[in-house]
Amino acid sequence: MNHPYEQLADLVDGTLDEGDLAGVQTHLSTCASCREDVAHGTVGREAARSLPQSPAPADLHHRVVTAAGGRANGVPGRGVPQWYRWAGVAAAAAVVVAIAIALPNVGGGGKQRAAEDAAASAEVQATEGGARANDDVAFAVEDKNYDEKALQQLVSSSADAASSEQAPLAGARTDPAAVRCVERAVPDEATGRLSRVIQARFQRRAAYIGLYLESPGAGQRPDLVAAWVAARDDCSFLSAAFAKI
Amino acid sequence: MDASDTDEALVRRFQEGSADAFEVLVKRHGTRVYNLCFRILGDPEEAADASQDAFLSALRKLNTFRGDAAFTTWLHRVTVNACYDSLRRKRRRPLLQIVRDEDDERPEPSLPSPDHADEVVFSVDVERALMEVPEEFRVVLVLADVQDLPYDEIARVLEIPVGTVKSRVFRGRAALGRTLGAARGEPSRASRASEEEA
Repeated sequence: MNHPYEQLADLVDGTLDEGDLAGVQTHLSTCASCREDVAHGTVGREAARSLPQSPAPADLHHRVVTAAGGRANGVPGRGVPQWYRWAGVAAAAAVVVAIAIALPNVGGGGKQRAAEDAAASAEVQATEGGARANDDVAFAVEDKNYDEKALQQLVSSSADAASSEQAPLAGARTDPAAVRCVERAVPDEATGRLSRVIQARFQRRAAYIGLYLESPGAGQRPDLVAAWVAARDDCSFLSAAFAKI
Repeated sequence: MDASDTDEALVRRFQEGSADAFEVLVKRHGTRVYNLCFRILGDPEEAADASQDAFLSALRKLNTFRGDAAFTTWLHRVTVNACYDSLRRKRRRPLLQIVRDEDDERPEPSLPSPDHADEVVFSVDVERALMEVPEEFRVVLVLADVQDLPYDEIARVLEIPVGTVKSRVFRGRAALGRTLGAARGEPSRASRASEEEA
């Protein structure tokens, strides 16, 4: 038997449409389970609504600021909120990119020039030895279009895999161009080791997703997985997601 | 920085490079975020940790906030994700660790004043019963009946249809009421059926 839970929610709320009332009453007259659920649901509603609000811990604000600073400095507990600085910088950069994309003809083709700049810069990094390049990065190509939710699921499952010390996703070894593109999108102040790059789409845009393992300090086990998404055409920052290990 | 600024104005200021704007948002929404975590997780320490994680996640992702949804909707979504993350880690913890945690000496709760004793006992009953409600129903129940969000807002937070929200709210409320009834010695559906048969 199908139970009309949506309408029963309205019944308990006292907002059931008159047009639905007869149908719901007919169902209740033959369904003991729903009659019991309505009785319990009425009690449950009142009980949940009776719960008092608990004040946030007095040190919550301090904890957030401290944790933000510690993460960026690689030293737990340091009080300088460096995350603020780079998060703000990344935000400002994202706004600039959005404007450049929205106005492609202003300034003689900004988007194309940005892509050329990105390529040129990548070349420079390559010839300089790519200070942050990592030969250990797994690379995989996925025919998948990620959105914010899928990105969050990706970091959560990666955190699960990291906690059980599973091997990273199988794939071809390092694609240096993809690694450099991801590294361009990640703010300089961000810490962590790039372990994997996925070539896919993000909100229908060709993208690289870089998965970083972040540690609270030097020599300590990673406690966070971060996914940074870079546009493949100009290596600009598109999004990020995080999950604790 | 004006504390009367709207959330959206503060977000814009943060995106323009003002770190102080984020601090105002943390102070403004701290209690709401903490309560959501506390009612979903049921433990003050875990709730404080999850609240911190939620704000850090918000901080890191604020540059992707485009104002397509209200800031509070977005912050609720980030907070619920932090809670799911905490629940996922809890499930992963080895049994031994959980046993150790339960053996830890915890401070005795202070006794309520006589005037409020019944009220507090009932509140503790409800808190415990809420933890018996399955996660997917509990999250929606807390958003609806504790945080007092309208159903369409919850649908946007969780990115599910409004009909699914209502269905989960109803089933969550029924589960909560049933658990409270069982705790007070009311006969369960199964035991009542067997009594009727006899």
